[in-house]
Parts: sequence; C-alpha cells; structure tokens
Amino acid sequence: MSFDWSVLGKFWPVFLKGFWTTVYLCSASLLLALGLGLAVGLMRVSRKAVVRWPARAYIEVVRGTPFLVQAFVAYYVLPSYGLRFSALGTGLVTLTAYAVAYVAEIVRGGIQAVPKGQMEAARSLGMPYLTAMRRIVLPQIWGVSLPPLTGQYITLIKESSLLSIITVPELTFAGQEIMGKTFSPVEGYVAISVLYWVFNSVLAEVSARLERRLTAYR
Amino acid sequence: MRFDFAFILQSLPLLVKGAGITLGISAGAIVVGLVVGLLVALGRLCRWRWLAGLIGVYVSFIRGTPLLVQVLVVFLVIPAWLDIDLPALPAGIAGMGLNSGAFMGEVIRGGIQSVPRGQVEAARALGMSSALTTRRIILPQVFNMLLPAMTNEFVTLVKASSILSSITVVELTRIGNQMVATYYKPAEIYITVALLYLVINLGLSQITVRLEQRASVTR
Repeated sequence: MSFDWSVLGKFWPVFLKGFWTTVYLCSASLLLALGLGLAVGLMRVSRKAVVRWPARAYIEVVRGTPFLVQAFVAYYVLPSYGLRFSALGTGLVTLTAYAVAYVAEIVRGGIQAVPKGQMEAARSLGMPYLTAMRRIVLPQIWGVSLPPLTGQYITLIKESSLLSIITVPELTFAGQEIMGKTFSPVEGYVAISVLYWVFNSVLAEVSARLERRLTAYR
Repeated sequence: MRFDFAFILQSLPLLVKGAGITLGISAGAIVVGLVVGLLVALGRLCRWRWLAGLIGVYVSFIRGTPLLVQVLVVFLVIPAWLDIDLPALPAGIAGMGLNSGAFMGEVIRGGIQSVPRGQVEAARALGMSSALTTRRIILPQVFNMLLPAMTNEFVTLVKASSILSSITVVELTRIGNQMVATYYKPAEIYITVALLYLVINLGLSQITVRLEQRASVTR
C-alpha cells in the first residue's frame, strides 16, 4: 500500500480546477432550478389538471430514470434538434433539468406545509390565486424548504460526478485525468474522494445548523 | 422529428434483456446492502464506542462522496493497493452494496430501536442471550417494517446500476451505448432505454405503495 504524495504536489491545479468547475456547475444549476422549480412546483399544486399533469409527468420521468441516461439524452439527442452546447453547457442543462424536478417537489412540500386556511382567507378577501401565492404562501415556505434545498445541493454535487462520463471537466474528470498521467488510480481518486467528502460534510453541517435555527421556535 | 419506430421494435428484445441484467445486478446489490446494512446498524448500536465511531466514519464517507467515485475506488483503487484482480461485475455490485448498506444501516437501526423494549426485556428475563434475542425476536419484526424502505432502495439501485456502464459492466445503459455506437440512432435508443427504466421504477413504486398500505394496516 503506497501513496505517492508528490502527485498531489504536482497536480493540485488540476484538482482545484475540477473542484471549482463542480462547485460552479452545481451552484449555477441550483440557482436556475430554484426559479424553474418554483414554477413547476406551482404547476404541480394547481387545481387545474391541465396544468398539473405535465408538471407531474415531468417530475415522474426525471425521478424515474437514471441521471446518466438523462445526460446521454442531452449529450447525443439535443444537437439534432439544433441545441448545440459545449460539454459544460450540456452538463448544466442536464443538471438543471434534474434539479428542477426535485426542487419542484420541495416547493410542493413547502406550499402544503402552509395552513390551507390562509389561502382560503386570501381568496375570500378577493385576492387572485397567484397574488395570494406570491404574497401570502410562498414567503412562508422558506423555513420548511431551506434544509431540503441544501440537501439537494449536496445531491447535485454528488450527481455531477457522472458528468465526467460526458467529458465535462469537473472533479471526477480531474481524477481520471490524473490517473491517465500517472498510471495510478490511487492518488487521484483518493484525493477527489477526500475533497468531495470534506465539502459535503461542511455543507451537511451548515444544513443541520440552519435547520436547528429555523425550527427553534417550534 | 423522424422517429424510427420500426427500429425501436427491433431493438427491444436486446434492450429488455439488458433490463433483466439490470434487475439482476440491483437484486445482488440489495442483498449485499442488507448484509452491510445489518452490520452497520448493529455496529452503531454496539457498546464498543470505537466500533460505533468507525462505522460512523464509514457512513459519513459513503454519504459524502459520489457513488461513481465509490465504485471507481472499489474497481480501481482497491485492486491497485492490494495488488489483486477484481472483475467489473463483482466490483460494481460490491460498490453499490457498500453504498446501499450505509443508507440501509440507518433505516435498520431505526427499525431495531422501534421494537418495544418490553419484548427485549421479556426475552432476556426468559434467559435468552443477547444474540438469540436479536436473531429471533428483533430482526423478524424489523424485516417486516423494512419492506417498503427496501423496495424504495431497490428503485434507487436500479437507477444507480446505470453508473456501472462506465466500468464496462454490461447492463441496460451500456447496451444502449453499444447500440448507439453501432447504429447511431441515439434519440430512439436512449429514449427507449429511459422508458424501460421508467416502467421498471413505476412498477416498483406501485409495489412500495401496496407494501406501505399493508404495513400500516397491521399496526
């Protein structure tokens, strides 16, 4: 069992670049997914079946198929419809589409956690449905939704490693690059494992603290 | 948008065979996951603090790192370290099982702790050893409680098995890749592959719902 520490010394820029790409990709993806997921989540709870069903279908499809297959569909199929992205762009699209389905469910959970009476009261005061949503219900979902959202961010960080298979230059891809250059899988993969582990452990701790603070009054 | 339905019908037999392999791999992984999960759960509840701590570190690692990286570690790093040869399929199932076991361990631990203490006390009062109590009183009840969680985990494993396509395991996704390389109809093939996964997972979800209904009725 030998570990060549000099590999870390020589290649740390590669790791850093990969790590940065991962964080950048997942952050951008989650931000986009927050907006789109909110919309899909609202569709999901709509009283009109015409609006509800496409949202539900989208969520079921994304949650019922492997992320890797979604990545392949995006990578190989989208170009023939004129949507030609770089590998990174395709990765962003796939990750965002994936995140939207889960954020939509988180939003749905948040909306359903707000007492129904509030919407009923707003409506009986003559407020339109969407205005009531915007001004009464949605501002209240953050307390309930923030912990699952940070959990979702951790999930995205882990799922993004699959994007290495469609040549997106993120952290796992960096590990494969190192293995290609040093002919040893050990240093590269152990290093990226530690990087993922530390980053996600910090995120998990932040999430736990957030949750404790937000539910302190209950 | 020209969709070659005839081609899809032709490719279905091979893809369905791939789906069968995927189910087999997931079944193998869940068995490994149950064994590992049981060890994790018992280890966490152990009186030896160091063992509980060690298992905690293991679970933290599994939860904090991507599955692909874990599988690559089992498939590439461990054989390089120990200088052994590990074929792709066992490595893949082992990786998935170790991953699944960490998560299942928490579920099993919750299940064990939810068995009423009175039963354990009664068993011990009758002279049953700790091991015998665990084996014949606690675990059978835990297993029944676990069934919905297990089918849920099976869905996760079916989706996770597609990762094994990148370490040369022949399952549904890899067969899809090979067909795309041969015939170059990525849209038809990958969408059919996605539909097959979807059908499997929707079916499993239905089973989960039925199992949950059963479990709640008997309480």
